[in-house]
Amino acid sequence: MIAFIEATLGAVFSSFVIIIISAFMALMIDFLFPSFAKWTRMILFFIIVTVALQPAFEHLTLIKDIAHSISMMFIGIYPILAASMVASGGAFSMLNFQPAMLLFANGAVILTERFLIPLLTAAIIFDLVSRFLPELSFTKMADLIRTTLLGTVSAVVAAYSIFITTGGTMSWAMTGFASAPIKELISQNVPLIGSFMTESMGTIGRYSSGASVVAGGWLISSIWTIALVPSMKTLLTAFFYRWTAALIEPYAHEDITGILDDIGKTLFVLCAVSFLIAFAFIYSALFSIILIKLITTMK
Amino acid sequence: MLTLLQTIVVFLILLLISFTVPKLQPLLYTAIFLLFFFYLLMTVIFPFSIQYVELFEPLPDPFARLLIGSAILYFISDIISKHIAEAGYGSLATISHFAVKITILTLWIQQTTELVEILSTLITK
Repeated sequence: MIAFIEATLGAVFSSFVIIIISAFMALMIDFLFPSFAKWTRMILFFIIVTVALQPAFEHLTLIKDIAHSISMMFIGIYPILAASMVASGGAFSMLNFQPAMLLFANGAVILTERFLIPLLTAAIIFDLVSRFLPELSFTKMADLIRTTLLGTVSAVVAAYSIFITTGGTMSWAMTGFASAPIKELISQNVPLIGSFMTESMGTIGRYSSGASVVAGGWLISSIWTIALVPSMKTLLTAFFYRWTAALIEPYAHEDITGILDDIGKTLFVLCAVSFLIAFAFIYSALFSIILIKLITTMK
Repeated sequence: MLTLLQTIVVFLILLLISFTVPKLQPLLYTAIFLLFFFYLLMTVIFPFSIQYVELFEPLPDPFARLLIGSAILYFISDIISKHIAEAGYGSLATISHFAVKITILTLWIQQTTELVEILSTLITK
């Protein structure tokens, strides 16, 4: 676990150290050569974009790639899954696996790939532009995009919960008493998407608790881990951006801290978007597992 | 501190020159100025900047060197062009400053290309 954290955060962490050191350097150069101050700011932007924003861009492309491969996989296997669902007759109805739900889950991934992630990229570019050229400010536009995305994702998650709870067979197994304080902690402390995270976790939990009867707890938890690793990585990176912004605020240009803060916000939204992908992955994986289990036991 | 004393001495010499040979004053002023300036570059500014670059070794390679180098280049060019402008040749000063600016931008071209590439990977694909 620690090796994993080091592997994922080592590169990210070093780039934040670079931001802090280069902000110091720019401070000293401003002191020595005040006539060069405008250019120091520009060049600091260069350093930050080429070195420090790399992790954010990597995450964006990572999530984009995952969304692409999952949507491709879904387009490939959906006919087979649907056919086998028809073949197995009424066996699925007791588990509340509607084909529409599968379609919906993976439709969300396709929505993410085609629509949400390009919009997020646009938000990052708007942020960069409005910090780089303050007279050409797009901050409201970037904020609008972020809130719209967050709203879309929350709506999709709410639709999931409706789908799952109307079936009635799934019960909330992670008992409310035990997990309520943790949920409260998360929703209070993660900025922007905290309450969204607890809600969506609850939805996935509600869903997979029904499936764990068939598939076994360890399998479910391993699927959870695989599906949520990219989201957690994104979340941690977003926190790093905001922490760095908070750390260098006293002595760095306002633009620099602002850009880090904005990128952090965008990454939080990216984390929310990646939850959609995690949903679809968990759903498809459980679906396939249960299908295979049914086929093998019915023989 | 030593530099301050040296500057005062140079200033006194210049005053003396302007008093004794007022006709040769612009020429001697330029000569003494350039001499003193290059002396300062060799003894103070370059050693300091090398030390400074070493201080920021942990930064990724070209950035610290490039930033400090271009700041010093800008500073030198600024001083020389100001000197030329003081002598009354304003347009020549502008040309020299412009040339140095182009040099600085040329130094940064590779980094600029990288930046554009990174940003364009976000847009395309």
